[in-house]
Amino acid sequence: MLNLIKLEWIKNKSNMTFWILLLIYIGATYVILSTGSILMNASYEFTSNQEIQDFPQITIYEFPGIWHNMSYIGSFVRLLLAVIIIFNISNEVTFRTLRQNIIDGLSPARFLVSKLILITALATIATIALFLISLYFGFQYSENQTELIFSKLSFVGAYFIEIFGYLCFAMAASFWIKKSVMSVMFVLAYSIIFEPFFGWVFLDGEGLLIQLLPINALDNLIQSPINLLNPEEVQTYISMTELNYAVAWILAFIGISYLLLTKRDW
Amino acid sequence: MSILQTKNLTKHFGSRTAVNQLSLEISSGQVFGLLGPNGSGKTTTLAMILGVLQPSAGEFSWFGQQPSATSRQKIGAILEQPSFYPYLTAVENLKAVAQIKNCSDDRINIVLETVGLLPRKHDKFQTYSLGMKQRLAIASALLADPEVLILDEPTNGLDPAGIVEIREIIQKIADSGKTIVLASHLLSEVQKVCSHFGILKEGKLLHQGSIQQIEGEKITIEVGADDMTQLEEVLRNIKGVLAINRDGSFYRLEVEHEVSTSYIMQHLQEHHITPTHILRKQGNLEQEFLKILASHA
Repeated sequence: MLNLIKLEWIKNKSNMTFWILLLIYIGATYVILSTGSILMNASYEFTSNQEIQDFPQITIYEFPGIWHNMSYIGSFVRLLLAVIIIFNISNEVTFRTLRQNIIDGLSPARFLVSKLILITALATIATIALFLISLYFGFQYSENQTELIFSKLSFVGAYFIEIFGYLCFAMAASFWIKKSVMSVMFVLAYSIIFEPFFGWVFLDGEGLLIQLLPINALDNLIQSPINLLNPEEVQTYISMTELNYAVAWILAFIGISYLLLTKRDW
Repeated sequence: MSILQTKNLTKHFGSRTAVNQLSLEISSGQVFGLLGPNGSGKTTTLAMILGVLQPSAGEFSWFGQQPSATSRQKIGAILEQPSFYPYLTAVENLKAVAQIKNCSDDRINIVLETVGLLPRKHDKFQTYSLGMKQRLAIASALLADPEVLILDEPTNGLDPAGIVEIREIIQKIADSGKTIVLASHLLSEVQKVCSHFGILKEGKLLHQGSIQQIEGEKITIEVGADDMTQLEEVLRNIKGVLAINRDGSFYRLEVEHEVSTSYIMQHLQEHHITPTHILRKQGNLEQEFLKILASHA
């Protein structure tokens, strides 16, 4: 295990592309999370210029709801993190280093574990970045600074699982497709176009089957914090059912990767 | 002790059979040359025994045991072109290999010294010339001080000086008693360093034997001169010459065991012929190779 952590560290630490992509991702997370402040300023302008005083206050950075809001918004830029995994794995294929690693005595299973270590590291960095940036905005804007601050942290835990699962999806796609640009296209097109389209057109937009689709299963961990029609139905906790679907898909992505690694000729 | 044994190893790619029921045994200490024309299945065979191609049928064992990742850690191997992380330096690349092979980093400088890359060890792999990449691949194969070395066309794409350099390195390793499997289509290369050889054609093993066997078989002497017709006349009258064959700019003589080059020279000088080329060879793998290929055509 320690060997594999060291191996993955040696492979990435001098790779400038890796670090640049990681910085871009963290920067993008900051930008997307800061959009709440733009909304707040806009609504402030709106209410102060006019006589309307009952305009709903935007409380996006209010503790503890902030953890739900931020983990929902933060996942918009997850593709940028998936790109790191896709490049990493398709490089191993095109440079033939995956093949050489196996020849040198790394079993396909251990190779997979080394990539899961990388995924864990990236998902951890993403979660810590989200946590710290949210904390910053919370202390900046929240009026509620009491002991309730950390009461909805389970959303941050769910964020980790969602990102971890999305990266596993990207990993399986990369082992399957092998080429980086094609894999990025697939992951992007599948998660934002094809799966939603399939859900809306063939499954009529609702029902159990939709919940079972992989990206949806991950997305449903953290549902929209805003429901204008039924504010009562806004999610207040992470449900075990959704968690089970997500974990099942994560295991499936890892299983698919394992099968591709062991059954394919490299 | 048996190092590698394959039994009816077969690989199909679609309808094409790349390796066909290959049964082979390589013992400890042998320098085994795997010969065959391009596309005869050499690399496919090696890729299977190194775990990167799944055999369609048949089996193989390393060190008398079921093959596993652990057994591959005791093998140093390069397959086709050298494969490393282009954005890492030689040292960083070898450190990654050391983690995989579960060996210490201590030998990195030693193996880089062996292949003459020490002065460039902190340069990125992508800045290397093809010859340097090949040498780094050999360094990487040597890193864990393995019992077996597998080299697939190690001199491919090298200039003549590079070929000699690599051959000297291989010779040095062979002299240290390690088992080496060398796949090549360059017969002279195999004859120079190998103790045993196998010939592959269209995925079939046509022949397996020792180089000594061939070399013990017959002795040939190559002679060339400016006036080839006169030369042939003289050669015909020398006792001990069994056959004369023209081969480009010289004649290849099959001779009896006692015939030496000085004996031939003596005769030529009596007839005032100055040879431009004279060479005594014990056996010739190239001829043997062509003979075996022809007999299976």
